[in-house]
Amino acid sequence: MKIKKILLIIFVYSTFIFAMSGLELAKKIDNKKKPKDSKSNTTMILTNKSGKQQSKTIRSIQKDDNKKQIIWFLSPARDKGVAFLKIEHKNKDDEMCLWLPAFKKIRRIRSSDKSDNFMGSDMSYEDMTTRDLDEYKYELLREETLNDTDLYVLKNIPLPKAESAYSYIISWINKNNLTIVKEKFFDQNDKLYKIKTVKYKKIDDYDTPTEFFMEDVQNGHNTKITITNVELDTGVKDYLFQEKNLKRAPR
Amino acid sequence: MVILLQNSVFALGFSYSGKINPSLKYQPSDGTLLELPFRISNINFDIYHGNFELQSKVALETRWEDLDETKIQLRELYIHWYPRFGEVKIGKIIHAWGYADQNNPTDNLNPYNFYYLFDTGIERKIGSLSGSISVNLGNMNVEGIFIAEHNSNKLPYNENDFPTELNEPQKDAMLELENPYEYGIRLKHNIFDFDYSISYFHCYDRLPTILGGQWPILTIPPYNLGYRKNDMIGLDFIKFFGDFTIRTESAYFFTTNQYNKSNFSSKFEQDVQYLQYVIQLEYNTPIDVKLTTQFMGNYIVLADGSGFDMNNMIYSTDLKNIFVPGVGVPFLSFMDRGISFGANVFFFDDRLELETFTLFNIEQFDEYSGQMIALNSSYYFLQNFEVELNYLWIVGNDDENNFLTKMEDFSHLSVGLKYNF
Repeated sequence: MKIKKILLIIFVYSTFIFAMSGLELAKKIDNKKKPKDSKSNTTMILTNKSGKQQSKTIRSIQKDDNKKQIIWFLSPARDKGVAFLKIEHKNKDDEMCLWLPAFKKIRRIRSSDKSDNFMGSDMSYEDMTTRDLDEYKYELLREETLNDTDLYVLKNIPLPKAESAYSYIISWINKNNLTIVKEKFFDQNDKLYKIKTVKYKKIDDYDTPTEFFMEDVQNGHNTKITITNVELDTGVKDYLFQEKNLKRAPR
Repeated sequence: MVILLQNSVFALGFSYSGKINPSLKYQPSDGTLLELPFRISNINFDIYHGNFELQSKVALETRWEDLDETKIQLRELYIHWYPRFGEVKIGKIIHAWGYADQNNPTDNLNPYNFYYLFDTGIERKIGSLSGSISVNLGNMNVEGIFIAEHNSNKLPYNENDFPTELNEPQKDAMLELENPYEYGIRLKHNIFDFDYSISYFHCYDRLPTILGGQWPILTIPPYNLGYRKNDMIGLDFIKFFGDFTIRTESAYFFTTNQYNKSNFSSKFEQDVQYLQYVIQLEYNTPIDVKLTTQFMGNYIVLADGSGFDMNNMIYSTDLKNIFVPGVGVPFLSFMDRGISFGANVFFFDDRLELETFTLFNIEQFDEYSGQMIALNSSYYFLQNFEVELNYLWIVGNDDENNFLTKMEDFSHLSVGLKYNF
């Protein structure tokens, strides 16, 4: 009986000693080695409730963990030439602008428009934005095993300064490589809103996402995103992220 | 040399895009077809090499009743260079200034083609032989523009189906411009999440004005028409307030009849200062309907001199009341104040776009002065294929001189098919 008590005490204490907090896990994920920059082509297949599909392709270049991003729309033909530039700032609103060739104008858009859907897909501008560590509260909910993969389950609760469209996000994180393999997004009424799954490939020693599947469970719409022609650490210069380069479709 | 040339040619890249867009415009009252020109096709063709691009925009313009008269319009053809410091362009170019949508008091760089006045964006503009240089200096951008020729707005003269009652002026009544060069500079800056721009532009009127003649004889002709000199100072800014966006644009014009007295037997001296402004407020509703309202106006600050009163066909010294701006927002040439409301929404994965726009003439606050209502819809029934159904309804009042009253018969229903490539 005494031994049992001692073992129980040791178990409880060891849980406290070795357990990782949600914030620590989030920090670990954030500190993971990431490419300095990346270039890729993205194909989005949008499927509506009745199964009707349409596809869109873009070329994008990112730097500094997606804090700087430039995107050119390649198809469908009606969107060809439109381009999007985003620069995230720490202490001021993010810069977001669109090049509209039909108007020959660069149009600044509100960063608080980030809950809007990107190109009619199920990804919002917020979903494409890097989450700042200090804009969320984290709770490590549990550990799970799914399809022989050991996972952490992390709850991300946005603080008011995150200006998020979600009340919270649950992330499933692969314990081996700390990649987010699945996320569930909950709306302001705490109802399940979207589910995202991500597939990765090892490219140049980095776990690189190559396929996203985002489903809006509230309206039955989904988007499959396939990323190809990935180039990492090519030495993208800061001056690429200038408004003038929106006008230059990639060759 | 041959190898070098061969390498250069093979390093060239090409890209193209465009649309084929046949459309029909019907008068709703009797179902007759409006016999006006339209662009059945637009093609953009670019050749690029390194930091250089040769950009062109070509349109095929036709009329249903006269397909043999189909014309190719070279709307733009210019070299675009992207050096590290900014951009350089030279050739036949359509430029665009201003932060507001559609109605831009500061954007006087190109003339308007009035046949396409109710279209959007650069479809309404005519390219000019010009050059521009844009330099980035941190979060500041400075752009200088030089336009080597003066072009006036293309007006629908003697068109029964564009009822503005405009008659083409006699060529011998038009005065030549001595130095038809135009130039401007614009500085754009971002500070504390606030985008603003300051601009200066020296130009000539885009609309001809009677500037002298055999006065005080109260009949015309003989008369002299010309394009007055304008110096414009512009200021525009964008500011985001929570879910709202404010875009404002204002331009202060100094207009002078700069022609030499020797051109006239009697010259109308004109020195006018006026302000044009557009205040635009945007709001995206939680149900993804984009609402936009614009309040625009034209305010004459000073008007010294005399002119010809086109409404009453008499000579007048009351220049303040008869002055018609020759540049600025086209709608403000016909009304002093207007307010518009627009809404835009997408359905079915952006396949269906619905748009409504209403412009009220509020020149007289206590009296109805007319309105223009547009209902536009487009539906992508196949990838790259789109069907368009638009309705434009123009309502004037009892005043025959009111632009909207004159334009009532231009109300129309248009049906179009668009193939984008």
